[in-house]
Amino acid sequence: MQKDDINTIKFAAIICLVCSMALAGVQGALRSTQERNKRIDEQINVLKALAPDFNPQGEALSEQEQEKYFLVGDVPKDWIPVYFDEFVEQNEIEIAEADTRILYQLKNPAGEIVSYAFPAEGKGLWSTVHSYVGLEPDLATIRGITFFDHGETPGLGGEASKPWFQKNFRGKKLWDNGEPVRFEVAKGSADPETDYKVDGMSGATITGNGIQRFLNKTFREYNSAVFKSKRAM
Amino acid sequence: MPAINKIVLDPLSDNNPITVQMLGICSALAVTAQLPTAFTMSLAVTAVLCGSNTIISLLRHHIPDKIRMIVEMVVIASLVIVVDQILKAYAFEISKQLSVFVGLIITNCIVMGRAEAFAMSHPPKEAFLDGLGNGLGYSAILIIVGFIRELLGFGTLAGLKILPESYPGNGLMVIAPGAFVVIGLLIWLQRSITKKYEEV
Amino acid sequence: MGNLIDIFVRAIFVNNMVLAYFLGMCSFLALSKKVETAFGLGMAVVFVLGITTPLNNIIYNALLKNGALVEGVDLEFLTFLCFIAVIASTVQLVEMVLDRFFPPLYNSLGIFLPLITVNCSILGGSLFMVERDYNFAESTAFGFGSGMGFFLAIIALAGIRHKLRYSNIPPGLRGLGITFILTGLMALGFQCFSSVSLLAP
Repeated sequence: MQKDDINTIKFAAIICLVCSMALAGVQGALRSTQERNKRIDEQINVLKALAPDFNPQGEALSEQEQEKYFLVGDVPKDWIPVYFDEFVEQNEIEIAEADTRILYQLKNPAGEIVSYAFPAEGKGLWSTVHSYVGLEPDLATIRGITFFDHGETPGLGGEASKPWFQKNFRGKKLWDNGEPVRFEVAKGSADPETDYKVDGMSGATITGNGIQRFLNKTFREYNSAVFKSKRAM
Repeated sequence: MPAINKIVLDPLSDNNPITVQMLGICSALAVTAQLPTAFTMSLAVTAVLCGSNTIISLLRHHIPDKIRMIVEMVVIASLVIVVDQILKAYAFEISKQLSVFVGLIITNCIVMGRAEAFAMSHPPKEAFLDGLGNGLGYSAILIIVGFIRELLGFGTLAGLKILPESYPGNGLMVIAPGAFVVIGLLIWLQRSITKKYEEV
Repeated sequence: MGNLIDIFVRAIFVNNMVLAYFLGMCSFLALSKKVETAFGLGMAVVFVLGITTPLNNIIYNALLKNGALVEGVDLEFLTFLCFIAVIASTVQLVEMVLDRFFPPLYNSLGIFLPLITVNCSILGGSLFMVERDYNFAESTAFGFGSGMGFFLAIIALAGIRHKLRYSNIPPGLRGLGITFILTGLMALGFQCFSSVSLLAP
């Protein structure tokens, strides 16, 4: 082997070592902070779906406050521990064999369940879109919904995490006349009269279709696994 | 001094990375549907370009020729990931906005192209300025395209309604093929002004 | 098997790297002047995508995935770095092997091989593979399919540009300008594939 080759290998080894050490170092040092950020973000999203309309004291929020806290996502950080420790219950439920998932339940100060939320996720155009779907106690009407942690095209599919799109879902129905409906994300704007359709995002048909697909699918799974029996009670 | 001016100013028009050098086109299409994202991407790429050009230029006498591409890519990718990790820990909001762009910055051929074409053969100071100039030239195109697409596609600018409510929005501008047409027309405009035509 | 064919065909037409996802644009536009060079680049991309996607699949599943190497160790932050390094070294390796054993092919690919390292569709292929959770066979089908999609698109564009030599185009629009607009129109055409699916949903 020539001296030249040895130098090349030496250099490659040093570069690899330096770069991976740098990355590993940064990752190791920052991991706990990053995980905390992620957890808080997740909890904010659960709250956005569960309780878009009242604060931890159980008081109703004005339109402006709802917009600020739950659509923009500017939830006061000191609410999160209160909500999560006192009012939000996590139930692990079995959806299918070897597939347990979580159902969140929110209780008001009087201890009654006022809403449910379940996680849903599925493919958009580029990436997996994560979502929490909040339901009213009737287990049919959407109380709030969030789409987050995705890599969709900003300005097109990325609009899914914007307030206008999520607001769109509130009050729509996933269950009607005793059976799950075929919920749709329209291409363009939806007929405001219908309960099963929301406005789509222009230029992002595939993201919209993806959301429509996983929303329907996950609701059906939760429906047959838990909601059915809850409704019967 | 004039040489330095030239390094910074040249890429703005005469040697623009997108319209003349044909570098970094993918991201120019992906992020220009709206003005704010185009702006974020511009900032990110300019910052990475300056950083990577400087680092590569400092290392230029030591990098063995045979593996220089791998070395360049590794340096660039590490730089971008380290910055992203730091943002994730200390500026979570910004990192959420940046999430998609991180991959796009690494694979952006401007960064690699300038490292290969300029930084490998010039001292750090000039390499830094070259990075700055190319970053700005890239930003200029991105922001112009973002401006046109958002205005014609949604009738808004940075989310504010500009055109009257009755403007229906142009779906062609919103989707990626619209970006091609806009960039194509921009090139036409630019070349009609500079009179630097391409031979067929 | 049906699944693999579905992935393969969809990667060529529906999820075309260039015309649906707009990845690998730079070399797509720069090297489509002549049909011969387009052919060379297209072949090189098929080669490299077909090799690196399954290779990265193995590396990802065996080393990087959360808990793959040692339980509780998550190396996913190295994903980008490893993929890029694998791609760059595969390109150089392929170059050497072709040079040694298939000189005619090597000569026809010429300078295009090294250029592929910076082609975003290659890294894109590997990242999609992770995102969509493909197994080894699926990533092979996906890699080759995506490469074929690129090949098809660049040959088509080169053919059109060849025809354009006989057209009277305004001087400012000549070359890059008209190519951009052309690609936009081709992409519009490819959008009509977007609802094609071979498997019943």
